[in-house]
Amino acid sequence: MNESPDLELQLREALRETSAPPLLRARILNAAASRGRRSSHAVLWRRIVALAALLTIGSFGLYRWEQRRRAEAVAEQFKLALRIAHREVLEVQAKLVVEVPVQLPQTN
Amino acid sequence: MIKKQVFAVLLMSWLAAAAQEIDLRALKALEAKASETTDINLGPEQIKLMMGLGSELAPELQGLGKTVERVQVKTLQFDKEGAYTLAETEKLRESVMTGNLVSLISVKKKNGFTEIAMRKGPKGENAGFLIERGEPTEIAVVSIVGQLDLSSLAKLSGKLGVPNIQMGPAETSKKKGSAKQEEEELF
Repeated sequence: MNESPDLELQLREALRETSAPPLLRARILNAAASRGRRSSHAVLWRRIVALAALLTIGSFGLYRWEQRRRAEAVAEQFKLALRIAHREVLEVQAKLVVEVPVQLPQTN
Repeated sequence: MIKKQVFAVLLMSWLAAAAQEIDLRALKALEAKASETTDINLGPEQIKLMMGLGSELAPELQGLGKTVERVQVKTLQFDKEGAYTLAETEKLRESVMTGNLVSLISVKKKNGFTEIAMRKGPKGENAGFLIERGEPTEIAVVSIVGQLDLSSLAKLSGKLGVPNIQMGPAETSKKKGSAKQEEEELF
């Protein structure tokens, strides 16, 4: 029982209400705010990366679409050129037949 | 050293491609008088681009894209006769008939002209053709560089929107009318 006053004293000492160290509240609030800032930075960066990816994919798609549109236009022009060339050959042939009649040899 | 070789190859291919292009600037002055013009100039780059469509292209077009290097077409249509003189078109013939072109048929008249020339490759092989035709109300120039001759062109009848008309001396004048009719429908 001799030890009980000491123990009691120690307990009382341990359970004694002490005031928080100065600036603790400020430090806790600061830490919470900086964690929030870090997380908002991460979100921002994620958004930037997503936007960049979207822009890259979009630009590539637009480029492919434009290339395809141009290729189709070229194909149409190519076909038109062939039609005109064909018509010209016919015109020239018809003209030459009329203007330069060729007497074909008789086979029998 | 490699850089120089690459540069030389690029320069030579550029010069070769440029040399194949016929100079149609002589027709510039007449364009203002024309009521309708068609101007098509497709070089190797454009044809390569077209070939990028791959299997979506008609098989005939795929085949032609591999052998044809350049296609130039220019047509001018005039509302009335006498819009141009033969002296004006003489400049055209002078600027066009150069290099590897061998004149096959050349007909000059009071009110028109017809010229067919074959293009020869370095080994004397067929490398395309040129047609120039002048009528009182129309001028047409067609130049094709590549392995497409007149008979190959004739085989395109009925394909790629080309009217299905057999070329031959018989019944030509009769079929000419139907060709025009079919083309009017197409355009």
